[in-house]
Parts: sequence; structure tokens; C-alpha cells
Amino acid sequence: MNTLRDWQAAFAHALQHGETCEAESWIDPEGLSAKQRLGIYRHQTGFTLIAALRALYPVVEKLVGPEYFHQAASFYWRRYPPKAAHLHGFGDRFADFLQEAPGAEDLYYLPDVARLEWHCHSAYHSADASCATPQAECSGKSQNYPAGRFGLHPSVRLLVSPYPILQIWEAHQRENEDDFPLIAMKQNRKHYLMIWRDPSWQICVSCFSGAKFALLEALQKGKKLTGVADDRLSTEDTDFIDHLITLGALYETAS
Amino acid sequence: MSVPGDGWPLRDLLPYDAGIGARSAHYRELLTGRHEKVRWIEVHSENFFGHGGWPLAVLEQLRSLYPLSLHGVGLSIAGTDPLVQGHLQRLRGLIERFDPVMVSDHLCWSAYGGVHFNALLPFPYTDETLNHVAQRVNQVQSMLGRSILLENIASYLKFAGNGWNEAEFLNAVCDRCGCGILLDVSNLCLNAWNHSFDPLAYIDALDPSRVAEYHLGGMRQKSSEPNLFIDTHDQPICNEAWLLYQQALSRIGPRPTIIEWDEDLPTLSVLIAQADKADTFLNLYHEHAA
Repeated sequence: MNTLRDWQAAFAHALQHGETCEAESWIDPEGLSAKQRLGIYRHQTGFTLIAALRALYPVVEKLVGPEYFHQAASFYWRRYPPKAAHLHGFGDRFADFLQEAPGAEDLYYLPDVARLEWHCHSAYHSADASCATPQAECSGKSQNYPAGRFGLHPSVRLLVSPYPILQIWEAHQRENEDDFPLIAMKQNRKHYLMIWRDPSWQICVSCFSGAKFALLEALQKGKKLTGVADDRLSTEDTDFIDHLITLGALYETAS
Repeated sequence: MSVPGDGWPLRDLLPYDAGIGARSAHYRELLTGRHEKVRWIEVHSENFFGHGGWPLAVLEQLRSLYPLSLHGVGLSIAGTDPLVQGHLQRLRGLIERFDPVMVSDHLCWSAYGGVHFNALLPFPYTDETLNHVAQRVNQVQSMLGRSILLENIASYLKFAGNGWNEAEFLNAVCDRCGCGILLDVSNLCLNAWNHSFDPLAYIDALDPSRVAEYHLGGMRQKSSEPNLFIDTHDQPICNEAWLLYQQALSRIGPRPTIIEWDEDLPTLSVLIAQADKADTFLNLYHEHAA
């Protein structure tokens, strides 16, 4: 299959890098030049992939403006093109890419906002699991939660940032940006975020204390609830677990 | 080859009705109850390759209301990278879960060197590529456990040198693999303009017994090149495509038809009106054929 493979190599090179010489020799120009014809495919490919990134990162686009976003997305897809025909994994390195990208240094929180948007996307498509429901026998203070009864829902994503990215993200969800809130950027504290998909398929983001976040991290690493707090959980932990159940962030395991 | 499952002919799986490409902006409205005029729906398979969440839950509800077809854009059937087993497994998973009436993809390639361009890309039609494509279609059908349909893509370039014409190439792939043809009438219309050939000769060259479905979609003249038309799926079907559709109905026969609209989506009622128009023509030619 050498000749077909050769064509595809030449065409792929033209699409990704804009170097069309090799591919041009295969094409009957029919009026337009071969280069122009290849340009149509290149434009269409870029258009689709940039649109995919725009759909994934709407807040990033608002922060940097459409022109910068278009340019960054255009560089990004050529550097980190999709590795699968479905686009669910495409764009996963955009936050790291933005961290290195010139021209947006003033927006030091931008990569973390991108991370938040990526987690929202990834939570949206994550696996299903039956959410735990509040039950009389185990809700309430100082109750013992049976070993392995609950796990963190597969949609839960955890993120820590030194910037108030949740406030930034929420402010940009508004239709009317005239009443944009003032956000203190230097808060000298860490922001511990949980991103998850609730039972009505909504993507939610909440901010927690460091201590609660540690419990979430332990759960995400697969620790059983009883193992987190050595058989008996503190009142504060059981309250938090009740809260997580209410949020739809825990699922009931088979055991 | 023998294909387990539904068997040939695929075209008898659905009545000769017109349906719509279902897009996420219309899901909620489609689920408010069965819309009489939405006779069947088609979705892009890859949009449902996620692990879970709303898209898959919605598809389950849609499937309970409407006959469903899975239309792929990423099989890369003419690609020279190995077939992606994960892709085929996910597609097979969707087929098992949603029991679609049709499964289709495009006569094209879309990946090279592990990079997926998310585009429908052309290749020359030669003896060599025929062997290659036939072998891949056989592999895919065997993995999926059913026959598939292959669609003619919109084309913006012609290859230098002589090769097979597309209609004959499609017939030959079908003969070797027992697959079917999804004739995109708008793509044919646009290709005939872009490459100056007679679309009726193309229609007449297709083996009508292999054509199992039609597509119709909006197209647009490229602003900088008035002689070039682009498959944009962003507006109503043009008159010329409707005329060519009637020619296809008359020469090949009525077949289930899908209206595709992907960009600048209109209201559901506008989309349904397009399907209704196709349905009027289908009924006319169905009566003629009866």
C-alpha cells in the first residue's frame, strides 16, 4: 500500500504544517492551483478543531479575546492534534500549552481556568454510577459509615489553584457582563475545588476547605471511608459525607 | 462474505421515509414526545463515544421514540494506519446498546500517523486502493457483526492520472464486501459542479440494489472562488440538489433519506419542514414504483 500511504503522508503534512509541495504533484489543478485546493482542506480541518477548542474553553476565550484564542488554538491543534476520531480527549493539554504561550503572561490565572474548563468537559463525559441516596440508618452525626459503602462518583474531579478561579469562572457564566463583580486576585490562599456531574447531568463546581479536600483526595485514591478516619469518622467528616451525598458526588458501591 | 445479524438487503430495514440528523440543540424538543413528522433520526456515532453522561442517556430516550441510524465520521476506512480497535469496540458497544437500523461511515480516510484530522479526506480510486478498502470494510463488518453503508464525500480536488470513477469504485467495494451505499445527493451535486461531470451518469452507474440511503445537506459557494462549492450543512437544501434528488428517486428508487444540518442550526420545525419536503418526493416516487 505504498502509493496510498505516500499520498496520505504528503496530504497529512500539508494539512498539519502547510507544506504542500509533495502533495501538489498528485493533484489535477482543474483551474484552481493544487495549493489552493489543499488550502481548502487545511482551512476546514483547522476550522473544525478550533471550533472544538472554542466549545471546550469558552471562559478562556472570553479572558483572552477571540483573536488571541483563534491564534492559540490554531497553534495548539497543529502541535497537539487529536489522537482519536472522537474528540473527547482533544484539548487535554491546552492549559499547559497556555502556560507556555507568549502574550498572555498578565493573565497568570489563565492556565488554571483552562484546567477547570477541561475538568468540566471531562466530568460531563465520565462514566455513570448510581448516586448514593441519603439513608436514615447511616446519615447523622458520628454514625459509622460501613466499609466500602460509598465511593467518589466517577465524574468527580479535584483541582487546587492559588487563584480564585471559581469566582472568575462563575463571573463569566453570566449573560450580562455589565454587572461583573470585583474579584480580589491576590487572596494569599489556596482554592480547593471539586468539579462533578450531578444526577440531573449538570456540571457543578464547589470550593472546600483544605481539610475536607484531603478527605476527597483520599476517597479519590480509592480509600474506603472507614479507612480515612480509622473506623470512626469525626462528626465533621460525617456531616461532610452527608453533604456530598446531597450533592450527588458519592455513589453507592456494590459491597 | 457472510455477515451475521441483519443480512442484506439493508434497504428493507426502514420504510422509505425522510428523517433528520439529530443534533444536541434539538434533543430536548425531540424528547417532548414523538414528533409525527420525525420519522427516523441519525446521529454521529463518535459523539457518543464518551464513557457516560447526558449524551448517552439522551440517546437511549431518543431511541425509544425514533428509529435510529449511527453515522460515523472517523472510521478512516481508506486509511493506511491500522484500524483502531478501540474505535471499533466503542462502535460495536453502541450498536449492541442502541440496535440501530443502519450503520454508516464515509468512503474516505481521516487519520495518518496516529493523527486524526476530523476531516473526510479523498484518495485516488485505483485497483490497489480498491483491494485495500475492500479488505478494511471486510474487517470492520466482521468486527461489528453487521453490514455498513459507505457514503460518497464532498470533494475539492481531482487526482492526476486515470483511475476508477467513484460510482464504479463504490459498486466494486459493495460486490466484494456485501456493504451498501449511502448516496449523499448534495455531495454528488457539489462534486459534479466542482469537477465538471454529469451527475446523472454517476447515478446511472451506481448499482441501485446497493443504494440503501440518501443524504441531503446544505452547501455554499466559496466566497473567493465562485466556481467552487463547499459542503457546509448550514442552510436549506438548494434547488439543484432537490432536482437531483428527484432524479435519484426516479432512476435508483425511493430510499430512506436524512436531512443533515450541522452549523447555524435552525429551529427544529425548519429542519422538519425540509424532511417533509423530501418525504413528499419520496411518496411521489414510491407510488410511481408501486
